[in-house]
Amino acid sequence: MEWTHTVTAVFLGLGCLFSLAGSVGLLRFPDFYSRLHAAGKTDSLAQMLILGGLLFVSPDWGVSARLAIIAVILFFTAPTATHAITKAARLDGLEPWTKEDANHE
Amino acid sequence: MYIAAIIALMVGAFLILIRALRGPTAYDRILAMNAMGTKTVILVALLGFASGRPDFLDLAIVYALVSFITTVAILKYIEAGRLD
Amino acid sequence: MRYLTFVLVLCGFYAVLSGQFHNSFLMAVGAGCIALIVFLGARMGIVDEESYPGPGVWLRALLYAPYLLWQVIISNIDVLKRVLSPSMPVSPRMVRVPYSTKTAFGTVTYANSITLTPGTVTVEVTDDGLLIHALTAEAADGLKDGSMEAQVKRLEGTK
Repeated sequence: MEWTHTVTAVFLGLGCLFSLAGSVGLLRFPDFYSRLHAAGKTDSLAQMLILGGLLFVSPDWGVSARLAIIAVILFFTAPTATHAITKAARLDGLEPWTKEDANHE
Repeated sequence: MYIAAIIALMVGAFLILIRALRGPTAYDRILAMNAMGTKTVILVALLGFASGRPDFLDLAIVYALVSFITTVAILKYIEAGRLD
Repeated sequence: MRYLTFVLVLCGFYAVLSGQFHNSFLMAVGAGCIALIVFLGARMGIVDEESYPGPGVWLRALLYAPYLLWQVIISNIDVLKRVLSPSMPVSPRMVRVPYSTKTAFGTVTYANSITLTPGTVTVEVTDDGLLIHALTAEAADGLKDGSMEAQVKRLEGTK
């Protein structure tokens, strides 16, 4: 196995780990606003790790350029989309969950 | 290697689907579908490499752009009540 | 000048994605698409200061990128730890943080960077501050020391 494949495997592994952590967080966190943290943050690092890992095994510069374009698009749109969702929820009057709510129940 | 990564992403996508089904608010569902869109882009890119056809990356670019526009369009509809 | 940059960027994008220069029909269609996009962009009024802030900002953005990347990595490890710990150590709260960035570009960068840093998400941007949802009290305090704001202002060039 060439060293580039090893590097790719490590990057893909880490990316999948963070991606899975985001999914589990989306399930486990108590309210909408906390779920934003899990979903919005892990996505940006997971995609960078996986697409960056694929860079090492890309056969020519055209493929590398496409990977870079996808990474840049996702890096800029992911926080923007997260913020758009949050703002819509806020305007709709969704109240954040706090520790006190849990104690009342 | 690619197959293992694809399976891991599919498990993640399945967990996200559970959140999308359970809700409880519409925004949770939108958030879940947005995360699903990012996962799909990566999945398409990985599929291209796994099958030895990196042309799939063009599809991934288009899907990245479309999924962002979809999310923003849904939110604009919720906020303003119309799309124009 | 801005239109020239716009056309050059689109030409580069086309060259990267098509990767060929021998099929004259496809070249003509590409040129037509570029002309259409420039026309639509001009009609929507999006070819302005905001979309092409000038070369200085790009250079400073290169300096800003490693700092942001490091923040992203820290915040992901933070989320990972919280997700894996069985007791869910979160106590979410809303805080309002003032900002002193001058341009819209700087404010947007600051808000998006906050979203990417550990434990905080920007909910709303108003004239009297950014509304931040923080997972813990420490995360909220971490923003108030202003190190990130200083970084963004250096990127903006107003410091």
